[in-house]
Amino acid sequence: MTTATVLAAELARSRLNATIGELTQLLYRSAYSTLMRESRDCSISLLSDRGEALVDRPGPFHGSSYNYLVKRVLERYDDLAPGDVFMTNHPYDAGIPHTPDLAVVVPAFVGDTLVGFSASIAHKSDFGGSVIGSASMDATQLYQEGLLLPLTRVARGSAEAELDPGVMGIIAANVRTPDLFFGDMRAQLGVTRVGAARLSALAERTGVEVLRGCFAMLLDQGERALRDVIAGWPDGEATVTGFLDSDGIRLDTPVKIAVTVRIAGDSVEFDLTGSDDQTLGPVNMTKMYADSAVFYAVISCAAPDFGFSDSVRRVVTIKRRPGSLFDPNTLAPVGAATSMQHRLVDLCFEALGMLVPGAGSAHSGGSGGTVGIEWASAEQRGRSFQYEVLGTAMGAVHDSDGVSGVTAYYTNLGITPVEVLESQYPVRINRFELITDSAGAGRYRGGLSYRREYEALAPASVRRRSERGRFPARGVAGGHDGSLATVSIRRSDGTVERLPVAGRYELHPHDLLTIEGSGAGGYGDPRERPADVVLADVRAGAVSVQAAAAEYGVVIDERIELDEAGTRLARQEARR
Amino acid sequence: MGRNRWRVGVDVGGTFTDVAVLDRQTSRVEILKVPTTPADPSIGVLNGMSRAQEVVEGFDIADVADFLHGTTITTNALIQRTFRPCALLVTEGMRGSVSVQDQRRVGNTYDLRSGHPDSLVADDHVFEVPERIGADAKVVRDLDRGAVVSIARRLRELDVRSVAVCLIFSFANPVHEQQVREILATELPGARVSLSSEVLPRIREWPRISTMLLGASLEPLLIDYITSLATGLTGRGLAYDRLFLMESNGGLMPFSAVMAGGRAVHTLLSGPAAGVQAAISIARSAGRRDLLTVDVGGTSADIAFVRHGEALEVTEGELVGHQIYVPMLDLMTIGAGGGTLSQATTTGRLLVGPNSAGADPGPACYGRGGQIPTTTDADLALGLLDPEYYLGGQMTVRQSLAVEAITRHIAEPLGISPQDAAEATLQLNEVHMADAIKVFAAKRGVDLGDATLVACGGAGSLHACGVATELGVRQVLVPPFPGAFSAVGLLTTDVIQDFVQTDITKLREGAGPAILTQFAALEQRAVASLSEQGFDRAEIVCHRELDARYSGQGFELRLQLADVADHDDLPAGLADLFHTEHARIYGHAAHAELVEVVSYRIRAVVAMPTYTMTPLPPEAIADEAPRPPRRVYHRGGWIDAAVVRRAALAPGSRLPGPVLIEQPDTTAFAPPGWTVRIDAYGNLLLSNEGTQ
Repeated sequence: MTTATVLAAELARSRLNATIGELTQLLYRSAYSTLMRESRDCSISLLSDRGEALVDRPGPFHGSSYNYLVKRVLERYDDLAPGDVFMTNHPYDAGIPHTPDLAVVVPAFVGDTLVGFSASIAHKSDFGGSVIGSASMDATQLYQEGLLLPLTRVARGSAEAELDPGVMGIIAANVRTPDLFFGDMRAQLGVTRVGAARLSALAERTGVEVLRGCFAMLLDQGERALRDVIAGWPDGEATVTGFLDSDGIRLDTPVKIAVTVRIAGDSVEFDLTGSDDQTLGPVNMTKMYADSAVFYAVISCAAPDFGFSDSVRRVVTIKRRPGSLFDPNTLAPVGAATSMQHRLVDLCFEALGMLVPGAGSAHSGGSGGTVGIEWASAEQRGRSFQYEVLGTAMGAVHDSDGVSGVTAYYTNLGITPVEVLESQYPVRINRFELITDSAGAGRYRGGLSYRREYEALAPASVRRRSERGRFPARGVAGGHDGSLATVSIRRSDGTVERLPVAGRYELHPHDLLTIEGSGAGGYGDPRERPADVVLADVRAGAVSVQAAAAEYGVVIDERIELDEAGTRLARQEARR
Repeated sequence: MGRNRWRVGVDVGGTFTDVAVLDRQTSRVEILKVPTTPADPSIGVLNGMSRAQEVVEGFDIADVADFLHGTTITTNALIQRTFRPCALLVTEGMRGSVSVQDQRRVGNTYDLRSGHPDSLVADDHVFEVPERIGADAKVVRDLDRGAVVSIARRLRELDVRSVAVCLIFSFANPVHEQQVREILATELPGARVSLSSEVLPRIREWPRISTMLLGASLEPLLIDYITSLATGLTGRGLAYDRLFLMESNGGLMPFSAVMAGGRAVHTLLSGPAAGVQAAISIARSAGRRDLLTVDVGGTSADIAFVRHGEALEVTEGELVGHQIYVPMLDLMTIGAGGGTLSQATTTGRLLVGPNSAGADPGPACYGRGGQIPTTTDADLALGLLDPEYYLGGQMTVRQSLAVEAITRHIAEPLGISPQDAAEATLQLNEVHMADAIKVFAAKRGVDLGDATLVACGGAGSLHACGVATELGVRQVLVPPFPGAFSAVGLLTTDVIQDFVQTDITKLREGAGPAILTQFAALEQRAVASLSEQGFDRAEIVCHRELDARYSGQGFELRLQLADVADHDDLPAGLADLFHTEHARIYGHAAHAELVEVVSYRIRAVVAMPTYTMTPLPPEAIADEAPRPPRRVYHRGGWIDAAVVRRAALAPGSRLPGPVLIEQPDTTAFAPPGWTVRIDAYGNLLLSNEGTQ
């Protein structure tokens, strides 16, 4: 290893990180639609000349897409030239998460030498298909989820080249909001082209061959960081299974996910072949999506500080069965894979934890889903649709309680403030609070989920997308399961209806809609949780006095003080 | 001038308390340093005043016109969590606002333990008050007074002395918060009660609660400190109404405003904000208006941007992991300083930062047990620092220890020479800083092309040219007192206080009178507050500003009412201004969309007299003996760099790089290709002549 390359690789790492950071800001700032600017559901990356992601930007989710996307460009075109622009939204053809996402790829050159790629993925407000917004919970075929644009070269010749009018015409004829679409697309294309120019400049400054050496070294270092840790893990095999409530179409049929982990030496295999066949509803996962979940789990256990890069592909292999959930083969719909993503991470962690002492976590509360409320009497058209992303909780780990009230794992989205919702829509939020006893008990307890109670001040139609109405977050190592999600409506006449956790509900003025997320699983035997910690949980409202006694064997008296003698007795009895 | 001859700026840092004394007769500034007294920093401040009396010719405390103060007391207490627990009262049913915060996990999302930032209030110190105000400001449910009485009893049992009250929609109707305060005044006498309807009447409950918790936690100790400092200073003859504290917005407030309550949340950037003000003032005298200020200390670097002579500001931000929604200078902190650690990893990487050796044990060269090399060690190993002249020779450092640490932890594991290892460390540190600045600039839409980099802090000027080169910045300015910059900045600052009120107003035809009524009411509040602090109504200037957005959008832009072109049709004029501003920042505007005002702001300013400071008394151009050139390792080889003492440089001098310019509190380095010029105010102006 020479001086130049260790230093040059670190310089390249820093500059790639910073350049992608700058480009990401440009993408946010130039975005035309509020969706792209505020939800920030967009990313950009700079990749090696072989399509490898080199640094942990943008992280595991979109990060795992770029490899499929750029590899497909390399496979399909042997005449890449400066000025080329490629576009696609195709989940199968090019590894895009779902159809509303447009991907743009621009190769970067120094002279005639390809030095790498600039590529971006950004959610569009609509990409055609059977419903506005394209991704539908009701889709049974990919065709319903939008216009399909296979990987296509849309410009050639120069950095200012016009986009292919034929292809643009087809898009314009298929999307519902063409102004918004093309506004966003132009911004995305502009920033992606800037990315290619920056990468060319970096290669020129560093030297093309030196930069190639740097890319190789960055990937080698990432690989070594993972292998060094995994080599210390015991070899072995573990299988776990879990379920989604349904595929969203066949509501009575749970969907089975099976994960087998095999650790051998310094590499790991995840075998997903035991999972169900692909489903009619849109919970199927394209390869990139399942990759993101599996890689997130491995990186979290082995090298959380290193983050994601395509090095992980050298160390982790994923086995899938054609025609199944994770390798669907007939253009099956994929638009609602978020709940599947959380479940797959849950199971990967559980399986790793069975083999590697202290690794992973109990199951999370899963995706908290979304709640969309269409108000009948809002004063303005277009502003009457209230939309929120709700959170659940993280599972407990071997030395800490689970985190409460978050969107689990790598989703990490914010919540809309009550004051903002009430200022904009005819709604009042009467309760927003963590749910006592929602967490699975354990030596370390799971995270608590939360409850929102919405009082309708006008007639409304609610669309709730969610799950974990049937299968709770599993506790591990003797920890208990978390609570189930619920939805109920208290009508203004006092009757209470308990409803499925996903579906459509109608509200009348002063009806109260209560949504409860599912709590996360616990880790280890709850009777080993120190009694004073359980007392603190009771005082904080996380655990009830009843659950303290029943699940933890901790007796709390009516002054909310610890009954030490009672606790000793209860815990002794439990041990017998 | 007699009684009012002097202005004094005192900035309390971690190690030193810096005192800048301005003689209003001559415009001369003298700087002195005394040790900070962490247990009670007011002792160090008073020591500084005594020291000034001893060494500054003609100085008499009784003749001080203004005492201007910057402190990190609240910031330090927040970092070290040395404050008494406070209690929080929220609307019944809304406890989730505290436990869920904004739902986001912070830190590394691969780390399953990463969650919300630690709350400043314990779960069993949060109480729910039965009451409800609606979005339309109407009372939905009356306050249950009996329930508040019970809460007060419990607070007494818990011995709580500071209570934050943050009820839903209190910014629209404060009646319930006010009733709660009345009840607590009777039931919990002696406790400090702060109301969100007074401290921050702004929409969005979690950031408001977060800001209130910061205030309720920090205010008692700030008030104790200000009380004890005021006692000491007035005891020595200073007038109470001429004592001022620096705020995070870059303005001053009198001590009396602190004592009135609600201002602690405005002091968290008190020290660094003064530094930015100093940069603006000094650069103005040098004719520079677009700046990048880089203040590098032992563990971290503070970065700020100045555009057209004004520091960029934010009205919401995050400090030490806590959301805080008050106007603040827009500072970014990077983990890169003189104590930044550097070492080779087992995966064959060279890792520089963000961890730091801190003050204890400090760099390896201090010989206090530090093993891992720092950037200061690398500086010493390469000849950039003179071991005989560290802190002006007041501190002994050992080059051999620096080289040894670099050899063991970088050079040997990577199989390279210690010089190359040290230079790699420095280069990476510079690139890390430049890269962080680039991303920050992109986030704020700042073009650094014509900016001047103002280097301050002890460790700022040695690598300023390296960072500038990496950024494509061609001008660097090193002020005369880079190590006591904040104290100098205090001398140049006006009284600035911000007031805010949320009231959502859609910019439709006919909204004009409602807008003006809101401003008038808020302005009345601002003027009343400043009058109470002792300012003459005639000297208070109120600037009208507002936060606006496209109706339903998730964030706002801050606008100045004065920038509206058409005041006859105010709603249309404001909407036009918003579209223009939106287009400037985001590249496009949606002219068909309805615009709404979310919050009204008044910025009340009382101008302080300004001075063109002459920091270099002519006699200070001492006839120091010329220093021999020093061997410096640069870009892979040893070169000879000229060495000069800053005090020996007369205004107008020009020096070609490579040259090292030494002064007790810092060393500046102009690499080959750079030229140094000294201006009339004693600033070093380094420029890249582009011969590299």
